[in-house]
Amino acid sequence: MRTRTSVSSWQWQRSSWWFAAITLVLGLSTGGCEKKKPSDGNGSGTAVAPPSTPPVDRSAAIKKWLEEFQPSTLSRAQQETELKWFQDASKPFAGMEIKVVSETLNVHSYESKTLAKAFTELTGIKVTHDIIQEGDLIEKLQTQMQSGQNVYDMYVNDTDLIGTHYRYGDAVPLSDFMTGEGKDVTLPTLDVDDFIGKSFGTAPDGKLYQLPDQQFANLYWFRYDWFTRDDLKQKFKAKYGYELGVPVNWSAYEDIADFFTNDVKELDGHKVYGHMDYGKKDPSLGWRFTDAWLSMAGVGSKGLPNGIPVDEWGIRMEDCHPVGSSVSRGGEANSPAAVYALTKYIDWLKKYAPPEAPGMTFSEAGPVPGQGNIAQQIFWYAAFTADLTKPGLPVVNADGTPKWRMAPSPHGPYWEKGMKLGYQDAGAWTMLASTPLDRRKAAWLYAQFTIAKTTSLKKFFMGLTPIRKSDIDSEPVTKAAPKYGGLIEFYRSSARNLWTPTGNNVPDYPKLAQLWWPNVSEAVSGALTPQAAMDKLAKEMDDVMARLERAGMKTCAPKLNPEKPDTEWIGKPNGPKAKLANEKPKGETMPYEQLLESWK
Amino acid sequence: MIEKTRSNKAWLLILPMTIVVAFSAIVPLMTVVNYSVQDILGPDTKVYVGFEWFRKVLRDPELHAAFLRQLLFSFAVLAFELPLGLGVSLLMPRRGWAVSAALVVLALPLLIPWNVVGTIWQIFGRTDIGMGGAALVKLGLHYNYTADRVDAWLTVLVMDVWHWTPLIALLCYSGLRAIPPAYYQAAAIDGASGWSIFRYIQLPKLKNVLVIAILLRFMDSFMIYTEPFVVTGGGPGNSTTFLSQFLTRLAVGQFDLGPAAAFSLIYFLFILVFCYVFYTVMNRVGQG
Repeated sequence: MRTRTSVSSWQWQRSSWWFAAITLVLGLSTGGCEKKKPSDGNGSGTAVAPPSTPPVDRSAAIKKWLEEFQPSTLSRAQQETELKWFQDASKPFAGMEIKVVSETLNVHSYESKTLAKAFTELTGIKVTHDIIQEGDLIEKLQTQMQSGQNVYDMYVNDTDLIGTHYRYGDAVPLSDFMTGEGKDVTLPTLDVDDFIGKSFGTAPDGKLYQLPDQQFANLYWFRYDWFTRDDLKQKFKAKYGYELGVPVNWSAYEDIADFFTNDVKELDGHKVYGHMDYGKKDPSLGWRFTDAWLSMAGVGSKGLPNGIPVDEWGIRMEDCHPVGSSVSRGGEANSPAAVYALTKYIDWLKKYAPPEAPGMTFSEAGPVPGQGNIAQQIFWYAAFTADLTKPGLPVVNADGTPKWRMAPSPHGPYWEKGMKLGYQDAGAWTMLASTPLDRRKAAWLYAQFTIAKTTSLKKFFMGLTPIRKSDIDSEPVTKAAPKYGGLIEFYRSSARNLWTPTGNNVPDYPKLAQLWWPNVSEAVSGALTPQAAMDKLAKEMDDVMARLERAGMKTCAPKLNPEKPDTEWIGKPNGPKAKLANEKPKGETMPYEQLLESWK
Repeated sequence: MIEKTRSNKAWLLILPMTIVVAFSAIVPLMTVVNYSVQDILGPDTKVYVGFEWFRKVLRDPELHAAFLRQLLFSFAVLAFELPLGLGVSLLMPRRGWAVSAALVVLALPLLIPWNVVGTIWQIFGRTDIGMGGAALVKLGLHYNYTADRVDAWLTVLVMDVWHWTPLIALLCYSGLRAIPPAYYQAAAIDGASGWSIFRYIQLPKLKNVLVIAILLRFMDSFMIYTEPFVVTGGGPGNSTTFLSQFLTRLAVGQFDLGPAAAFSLIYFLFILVFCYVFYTVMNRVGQG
């Protein structure tokens, strides 16, 4: 998804000004970039504490935890075999303490509280599974990448960084590790081909660098109960001339937003809104865009997963080299389609969303639809599914089924068939070369434990972030599907292939992602026009890529195209699209039931 | 005659402190200087760039705007907090249980951590669930600090005034309590008015305290970070983005060590200049 910078913990020491001055300098110096000798692993320097828990009967531990890991796509005997394998493979590392980290999601809380404990009891390897804000996680990852000092033994890091890991060469290719130095600690029944997000962690060299631990998409969310009310349907059709339903294009979404905010206004005595979004100046504002927004409007080229040669960031890549994001270099970040995408985001936020929405961040805005006054949301993260199915919420029926549904997001007028249509987050296990081998091995054992077939189906029910095809197709998931408002239907359909994370065109995700939110914020405030904001952003991205080109990267560094007049690129094959004469074609909608049929 | 023994061994006594300062300040400072002349993208990916980052930072229009915004904010803070704090101190009770009660009430905002202050005002100012924001809207004002740049600016300013006026009030109160009763008795004998007492006795006697209050609040507000970060994130746009937020984004967000180091050094120089001013003024006040 993103690079999240949460720096609230960095508080300025203001009680004495001279101390603040020194702190300022010290603060920077802690992120030193000189390569230091990695800290040694078990038995070679780093303190290794014995497990604090008393000795456990390992066989009994298997019996105990088998009860927890139900349901599963494996039989109990197969689960027992897998757990026994983990015990045997972990013997050389028993007593070691390892540290891994992931962002704050329900599924990771389950891993941290339950799976880590289970793994420790089963194997004797003590696991500390930290849950921190993703911005802090990226900071730790960058600290390790820049310093060579081992901070965590493995990271659950979004595959949005695949282009970064591949080019900097700091991440260990897992496909090499599994067949090479980590062969003895690789689960024979891991079944990598079963992972639906395997391609997201695969670099242009065909190697797997990141193996998904959780996945969720951003989809269209709407109040099915309101959309099926006859009085509202008639009123909508009378005004707009077509049926109220799942919007297929942005025109329909805009009409529906206007309808609920300005025509319906109140339902059951409560003020309702036809749109929900967020706009606070915050790194999460950048994810709102880099995740998929521009591609939904139609920025980028056809071709999956991210558009070939131009991706959803507007970055053009030739061979494996990014060559520019400005239109003048063949990119699309400041193209008419990109400007249209930003303009619509701002218009809808100001016209149709609750007045407090511009001051919200991603995490503040996420649960708002659950409060029951939002009719639809074009860009809704399915990671919030579990939060919106809790009994007692205004959006949940008495029988536990949701009043809402999720559906594919509508697309803008620049979008064409064959392009990506949405974003899919894939938090994936990532191993850095600067971590000592024995620690990597122990951490890899734990990583596999969290995604093995023995545990993955139970984990799916705890977080609703599927990673394995075998889980999605399983009988327990079929039975539970009606409770999840279309989530399962989406993941079983081939449509999910149009939902992809940031890809290989982005050579340095942390540096480039940080450029988005300040520029978007300036456009939201009106300080810059959407065109000026996107021009500035495109130039800043090109400047960073020029620096990467100058410094050189281990592989596939950017090679910027020379600047040419925009007219030499716009409207050319595989070039940025020309401005449309009509950016608001007639709205199109589809009945939800018809949509489900099309997914089968 | 006893010959005086000369020894330089006393210098050894400051050796530990010299070592501590070297490791805690000088070495890190030199490291930052080293970073500021390089483009650092990874442990093995760095290029010497000379003064490129200094030129870039000094020519950055956003930095200029942030600097002016910072100065304006600091002066606005002083313009409101100083008279308000002085006024509150003059109105505070002089004896009885009310003194303790007033001191506790005044001290409360000072005891709240900065990020909590930000959170309080973030919610307080909201028009849907915040008492302050909702009240303004009920009064017919078009207030929305999340979308309006002026509203955001005023919210941050009012928050700072709420948070730090008590400090000035407490400083002034202690200054007022230190004035000997004889001055007031003499004024009473002369039949001086309240204004005259304030103008010719209290204000001159508070001079030292007020100088300290001005300098403390100026320095402090010049480094403001946490509260606006929590309330507005520096927005809408750049309306509440101060210097420290620029540095944070570069150094922590982007991990862009070269430009961040150059910025940090320039910022450090600003602070050094203010340190000098502070030192000079304090010395003169002490002598005067």
